[in-house]
Amino acid sequence: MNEGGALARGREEVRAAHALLEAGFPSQAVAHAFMAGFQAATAALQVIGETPATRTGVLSAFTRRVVTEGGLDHEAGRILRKLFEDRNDVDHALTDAPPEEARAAIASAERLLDATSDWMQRSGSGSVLS
Amino acid sequence: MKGVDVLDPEQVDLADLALALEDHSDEHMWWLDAATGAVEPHFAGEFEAAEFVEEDGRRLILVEPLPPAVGYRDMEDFIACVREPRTRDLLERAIAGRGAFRRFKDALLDYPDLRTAWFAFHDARSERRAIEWLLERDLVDPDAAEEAIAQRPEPTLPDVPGLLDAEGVAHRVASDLQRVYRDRLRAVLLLGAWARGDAHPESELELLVVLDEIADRWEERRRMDKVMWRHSVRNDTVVTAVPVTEAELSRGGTPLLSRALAEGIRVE
Repeated sequence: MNEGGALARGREEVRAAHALLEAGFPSQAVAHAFMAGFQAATAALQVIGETPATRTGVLSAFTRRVVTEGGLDHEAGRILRKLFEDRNDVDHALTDAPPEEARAAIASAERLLDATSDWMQRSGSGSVLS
Repeated sequence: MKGVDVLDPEQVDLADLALALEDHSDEHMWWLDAATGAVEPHFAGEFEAAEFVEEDGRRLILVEPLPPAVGYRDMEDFIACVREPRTRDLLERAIAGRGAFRRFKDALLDYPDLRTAWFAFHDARSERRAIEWLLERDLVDPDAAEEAIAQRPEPTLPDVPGLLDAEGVAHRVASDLQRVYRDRLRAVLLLGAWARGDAHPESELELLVVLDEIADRWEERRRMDKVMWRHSVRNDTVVTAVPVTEAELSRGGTPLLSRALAEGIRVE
């Protein structure tokens, strides 16, 4: 999957998250909100030729290469870390996600996708995003 | 400062105050709320330039930045501690002339362990300066200030750069959480690959944060988010925290809590 494909997959994950939330599955929606953010990070890293081997490798490389060195707003990295933690919390089954938390996670994932898409456009990969 | 109550140094957001004392931006000015210790930026010109202003019943005290020479001295002192001669020489050249701060930070990108050490060194110094700033304005009690400064000793540099010092990072995160939660914090445990000793460089740094009680687990994670993000960026890793209560931990019953009991390393 190229960077455009990863970004499109991220948008699909957001739609899936919305559908799950509306169907009464907020915890599952949280998991898909993280996947949306993860796909956004993967897309951005592909632009600069990085493909980390692990999920947490993607998170740390996104912060280092795209946020710190690449100039993307720090809020994007902070959102991705928080989405990862949200997903972990749901996985650990210590809590169910209330609908409002799922809604907030989806909104954060959408902001992350938008910010990453803009960053990719500025980085000269606009042709693969259309 | 007359007419202002004394603050507890730990009540003040020292990280933000330290940031304000180093911020030479023309676009905004930083103000300290004399009642809560919160530090907040406002656009330049929003208030008249005065030692303090009254706004909505609050007294806001102007935080003027310290001279750049103070921060420059920090870099010089840090570089003097770097043992490896070629690295020390490169960093010394980086801080010569205009643009020293930017070049110094850029140079550290090639030395992740030194970069981590720099942030720890710089945090300790800048927070000590923030406490001294409060003390000079009679905003804190001298004994409380002395104790707060003593809690922030200058860290020593690592002898051998290598893998992430996960326990060291976990200790620093726990220290920050102690300031957030005070008596509510009962323990912080390091879990996962770093606790088991089978981590690879990309492994996340998992923490279990044990609190007295939890009304809203999501709200507690929001309270910790700033600390977790800061340490993630500084250490080029992913730091995550799961808040649990003492009762939940002693009951166990989930894979996470069983792991915590089996492999957790207490760092606070």
